[in-house]
Amino acid sequence: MRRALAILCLALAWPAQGQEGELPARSQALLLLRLLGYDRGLARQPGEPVVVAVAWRTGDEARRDEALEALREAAARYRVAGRPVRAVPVQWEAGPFAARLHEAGAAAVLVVGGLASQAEALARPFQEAGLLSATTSRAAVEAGLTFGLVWRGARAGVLVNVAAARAAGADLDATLFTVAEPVGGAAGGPAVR
Amino acid sequence: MIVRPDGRPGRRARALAAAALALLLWPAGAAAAPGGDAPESDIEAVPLESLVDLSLGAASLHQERVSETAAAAFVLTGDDLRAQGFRTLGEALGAVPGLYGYRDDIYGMVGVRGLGTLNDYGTRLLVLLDGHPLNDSVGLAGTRTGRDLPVPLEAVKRVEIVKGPVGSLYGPTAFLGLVNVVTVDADDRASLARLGGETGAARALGGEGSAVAAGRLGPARVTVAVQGFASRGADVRLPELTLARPDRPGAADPTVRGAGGSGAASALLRVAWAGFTLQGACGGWGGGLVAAGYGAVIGSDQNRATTRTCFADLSTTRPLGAALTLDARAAWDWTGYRDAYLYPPPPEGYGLFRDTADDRWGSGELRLTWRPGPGTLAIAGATGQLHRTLQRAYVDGLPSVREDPVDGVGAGDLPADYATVNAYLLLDQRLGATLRAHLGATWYWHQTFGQRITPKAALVWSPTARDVVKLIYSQGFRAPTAVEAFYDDAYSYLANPRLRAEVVDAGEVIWSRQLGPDAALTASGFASRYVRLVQFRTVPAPGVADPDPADPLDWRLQAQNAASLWQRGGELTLTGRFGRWLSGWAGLSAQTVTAAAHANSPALIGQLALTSRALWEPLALSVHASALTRRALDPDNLPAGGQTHLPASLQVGAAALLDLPGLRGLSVELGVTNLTGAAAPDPLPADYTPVTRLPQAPRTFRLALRWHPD
Repeated sequence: MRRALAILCLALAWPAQGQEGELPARSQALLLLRLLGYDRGLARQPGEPVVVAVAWRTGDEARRDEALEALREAAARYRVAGRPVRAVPVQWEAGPFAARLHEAGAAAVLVVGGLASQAEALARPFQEAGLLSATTSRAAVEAGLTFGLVWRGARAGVLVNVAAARAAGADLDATLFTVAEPVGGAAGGPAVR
Repeated sequence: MIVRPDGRPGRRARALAAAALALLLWPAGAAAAPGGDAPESDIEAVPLESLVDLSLGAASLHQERVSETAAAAFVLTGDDLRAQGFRTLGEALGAVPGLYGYRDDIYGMVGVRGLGTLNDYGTRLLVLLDGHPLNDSVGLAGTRTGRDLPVPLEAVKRVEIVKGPVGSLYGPTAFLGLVNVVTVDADDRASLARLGGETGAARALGGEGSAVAAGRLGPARVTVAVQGFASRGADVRLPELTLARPDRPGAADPTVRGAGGSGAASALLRVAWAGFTLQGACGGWGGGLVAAGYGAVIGSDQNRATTRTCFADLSTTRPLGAALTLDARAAWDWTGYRDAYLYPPPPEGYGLFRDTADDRWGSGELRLTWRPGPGTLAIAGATGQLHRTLQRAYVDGLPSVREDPVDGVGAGDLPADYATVNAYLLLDQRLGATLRAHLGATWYWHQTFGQRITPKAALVWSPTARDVVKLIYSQGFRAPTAVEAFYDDAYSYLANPRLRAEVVDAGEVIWSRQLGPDAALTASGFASRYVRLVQFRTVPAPGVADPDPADPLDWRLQAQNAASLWQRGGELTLTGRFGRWLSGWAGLSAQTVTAAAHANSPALIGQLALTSRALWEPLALSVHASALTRRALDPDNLPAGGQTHLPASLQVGAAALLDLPGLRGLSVELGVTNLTGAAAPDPLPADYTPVTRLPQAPRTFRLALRWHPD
């Protein structure tokens, strides 16, 4: 009996697979690249790779690797705004976060795992650095991240925090909203034309 | 056949194994353009709509887009189910291109691309509830596509349908295809209550209620769903009931009161906490048997059947490093069937004759998912099951034929216990920028019916951002059910323990094209060879040397491995979602089955389902229709006039869904089934002689109130 209890405790303590019900990493990667394609600002900066940072925190190494792999797979197939794509990991806890994103030359950030719960703290630095951000959490988009990559019934769905996109200096094509759902701030202004 | 008679893999199996090994050894980074080659495509050329297309997880045990999965797949969303007013899974499946519903006096069943075997009892279509298989191995305890599904449709987020065998993952039962019912979870934050009623022609009257809640309860993610249903049924005319059998006089009035009268209830609970998910569900259905099969007394309300399903499932998913994930599952299931048929009291008859069938089984599954590099996925796992089945055929207070071979009635207890193992391997490898290879195989072992290897191989090619071409070869097999192999009631059925597993080899080419942002067209051609298909045949009763063709007591039904047959055809599906204006699909499936007398095989199956909110956004108007060309009757149960086929049939339904303005979360649903009042009968097997066909339920109107505060 004690052995069974010990096995049960061990199993409970064993780190579980992250949040259930997320979009597959490959879908996240393709959607994020496609969404970046709606930012006409990227096309005005030819030549350099579009760097997508995978932002993660300790404990989410598997999610980081999964996202990096998916982004690199997508980057091997597609350019964004005529530019190649590069994916890099950036850890939340290791030193000044915004500065390291800047050093990496990131144009966008995919926030993975539990770090999405820090959306309120992340939103302002991202916007000040002109970074578009994506997450699988609707709450994180409502808290200020730019794109939500979520389930909508059996389909993938895209959420856009228009105010956050505007604050990050994005120039989004309005045709995006034939598919995407705006949340947070009202649509309009310079972020969407 | 892959396994040789000596049990060793044959040449084809070895070739497939070599191909699988080659794929596994393919450089993991092959898809990542080694050497730093620049990508060839602009992401802007990919329609965003194609990236948000419907998703399914059942075909390959991981979430992927329908357009990319290595299978002929279709997904019904929860919105589709609600908008069209479907009240059972069977109604919804009947609207899926290539599928068609049919029924006997007890069960609703689903045929796929022209193959809808009578007495099928749902044993060739795997039904999963959130990945948990609901089918039993007895083969008599319900199809889970009617009111016996242990979850209300209000709790369904989507229904994933795969047409064609999926034996390479799931082993038996996924013989014609699979249906995975995915329910809402905490992320959907769903809560609703629905109360409805139905009435219509021929005194039909019924009511139902259901409630669903999904959300977080502290650290736990919880889903609860319950439902109840009752109907007194309608009055139907079965003119053939006036025909006398040698053991039964014909009825003076062929009208059966309360046909379809039934009741059902179900409950589902799922709790996810600390990485574990515990799910349990129970459902039950009971109803009258109007066609008075097996020579029972016509019109008796004691002719009844009930089915029960219960299961509990504990699962967890754990990472074993960066690229490896372990899924583990343990489950316990029970299904039970009870029926009673009334006969005249002794000495003319038996009184109330009862049949029961139970299957209790425990199962465990371990699965490893490995993603060693970009574009590579390998899944390996094994499921073990221990079944304990018991069938009984008896009359209260009388000995069985085993106890008293002279005066006994019914076969008595027929127990059968056995173990099964299903080990599977799936490899999915991207080969360059536009090509994906998919290989899979199962090794299945059945303690009674032996072992076999079932392979699958597929290529998925995306030559442009709008086109996908799939080339699929897959096998399926199905071990005989306990009813087919062992059931012997000493009155109507004969056992056949010499039965062998039936096998299908299927090939299919599928081309999908995105037609602009809102529509997609899919065309496919398929060819399947079925070997040793199990069908019930009418054979002389044991010891009867010169059976009287007109006397049912001189004959028995026995499951036999029928001759092989080919099924060849093509399918066209057009789907469109033009915002609020119009959404829906249309499908046409044309096929031939190379057995002239094969019953219930329409050459053409057509479906149409449309929904529009164009008139007024809170109001969704929907219509759906399904059409079948003529079908052969059971050659063992033909009417006296020499008719061999049923005519073509068309069934139409419509629904209106109104979100009441100013009353947040409150909706009214109005629906009508069988709008044209078509008889559209289905063929009945020889169990029901002299009744050869069963008409559809009459036109029925449904009204419901739905409250969904989220």
